[in-house]
Amino acid sequence: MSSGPALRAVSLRKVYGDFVAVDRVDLEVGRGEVVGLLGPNGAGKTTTISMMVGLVPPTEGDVLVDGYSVRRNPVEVRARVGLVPDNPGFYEGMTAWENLAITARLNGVRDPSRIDEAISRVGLSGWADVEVGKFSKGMKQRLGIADALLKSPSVLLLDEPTAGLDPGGSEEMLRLIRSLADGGMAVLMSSHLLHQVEWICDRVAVMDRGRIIAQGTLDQLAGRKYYIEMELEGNVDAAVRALLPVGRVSVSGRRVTIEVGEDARRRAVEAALRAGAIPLEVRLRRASLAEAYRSLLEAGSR
Amino acid sequence: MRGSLTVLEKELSENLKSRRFALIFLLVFLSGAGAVLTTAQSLSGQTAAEFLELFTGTGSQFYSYVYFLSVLSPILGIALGFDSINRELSSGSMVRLLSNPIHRDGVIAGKLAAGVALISLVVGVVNAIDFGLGMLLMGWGPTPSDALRFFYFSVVTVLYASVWYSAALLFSTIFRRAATSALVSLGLWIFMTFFIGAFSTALAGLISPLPSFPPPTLEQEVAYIDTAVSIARISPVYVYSEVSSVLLNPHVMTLSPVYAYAPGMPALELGVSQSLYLALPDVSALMAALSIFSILAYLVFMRMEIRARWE
Repeated sequence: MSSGPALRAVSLRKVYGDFVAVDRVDLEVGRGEVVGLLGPNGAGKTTTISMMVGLVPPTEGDVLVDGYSVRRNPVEVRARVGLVPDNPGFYEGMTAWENLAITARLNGVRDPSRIDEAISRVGLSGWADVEVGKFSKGMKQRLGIADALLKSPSVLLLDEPTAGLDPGGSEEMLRLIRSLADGGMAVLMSSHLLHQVEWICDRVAVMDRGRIIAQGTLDQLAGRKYYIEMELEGNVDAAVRALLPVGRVSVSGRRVTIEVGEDARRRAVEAALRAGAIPLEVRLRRASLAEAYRSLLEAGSR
Repeated sequence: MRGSLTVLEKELSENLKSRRFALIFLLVFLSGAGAVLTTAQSLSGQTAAEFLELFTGTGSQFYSYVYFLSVLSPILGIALGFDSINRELSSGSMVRLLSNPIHRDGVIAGKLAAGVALISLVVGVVNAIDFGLGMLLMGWGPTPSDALRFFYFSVVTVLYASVWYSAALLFSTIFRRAATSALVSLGLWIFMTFFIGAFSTALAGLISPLPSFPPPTLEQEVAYIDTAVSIARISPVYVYSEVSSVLLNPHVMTLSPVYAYAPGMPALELGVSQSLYLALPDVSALMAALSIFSILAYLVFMRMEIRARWE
């Protein structure tokens, strides 16, 4: 095992004719880390993940998993990467155990107890001998994780792991992913559900039109962006005009939100009072991932 | 090839448990048994009947065993192959398979080997049962040379069905929808089975036309028939019917449209090795077709873009 990051994408590029699907993506995922890969549909997330597991050959650049290059040693890479697509494909006429037995054979896992262990780890012990065709979407997702875990991967790639799951199932899945990372696995997870990403990811990379437009911790991504939320009574319109020099203002009824780069509560309260409005409630909060994500995409499209 | 054995085992396990496989097995078996039964009834009074006539259906009012196999073997091959690749792509199981340490060619090689193994199983079991049924009904058995001829016929039937399997596998690689690949496979089969005769004679009429006046000479007629037969030989169905007739009937001396026969000439029989020699070009043609379809399926599959999400 190499001492560097478990997963490293270096100037990864994928071109289809004139269309650049992925454009010079540099990304690292360390052991024990969960990194969220965000981006709108068509941003290139799935293509990037497909290249990371050697399903799609990169046009340029490389992916290194434990130091093995996906270009030179795709088989070694696939032995170290567990992929859980948004819709894990199983042979529906076979039982969960039989499906995992195929993966075990392909990965040289000879001990059948490893299959039982993987199934039990995702809470499907009582379902091992049931045909996968009878499984719910959530159960298939969990079996997908068991399937990936069977090869004891260094890197786990998850494409929309909670898509189609109910809130309870999603939470369970996220806890499982977090526990795997805490056990030393490097996890890269693509998702549209920002609150989930915010909950379990240590770092986030945002993709748009094939490029990574930002990456870092949630704090780094949100930057020095805060929101002052005020509930006003009195002359709200005049207060809004007075607050414009403080920051970007948005109004919803009597609630006013001001986007600022620092704690400017005192200035905001004074401006509102001068305009004849009384702040009933004043709150300062850091930008959420969703807000940071939105402004990153807006900045990218400008 | 890494992983091909696992894919082979998976394919066998999946197919042997499927209703589709049970149904097609039953269809082939019942049709074959029915043909043997009716032929046996029509042969029952004939003292000079030969054992293999049970299968060629000489004298029977019903379709022969060979005819049923020539029709149902392609159905067997197509049923096993038409969704072999695209079903795995649409269900996502191909992504799961290929995200493991396996070479991509291992998948297609495993699928090809599994198809041939399943076809061998069906043809072998059905032929063995019907061969035994034939002995039971006739009350006497085949000569060693008859048994050998039937064995070679079974091998050629496996080869013939495998040609259709590889064609269906190719279509399942080319077309994303299983319904499309099934339709194209069946369309090809219908053309090669029912329209190849009309097509070959029409084309022969253009290449080697027969004059209406003065009446065509023998050479012109032979050239016309020769051309028509050569064109018809693009059809595996036609080729299989030729090979079957050569292998199961020792009296077939040639596959040429012209056969010199003098009155009073004693009925001749070819030995097994001579019949094999006569069938060799057709067997080679079937092998070539199998190779071409398999190689094309391999090339298309190897160049195919398979992403983590198949949309």
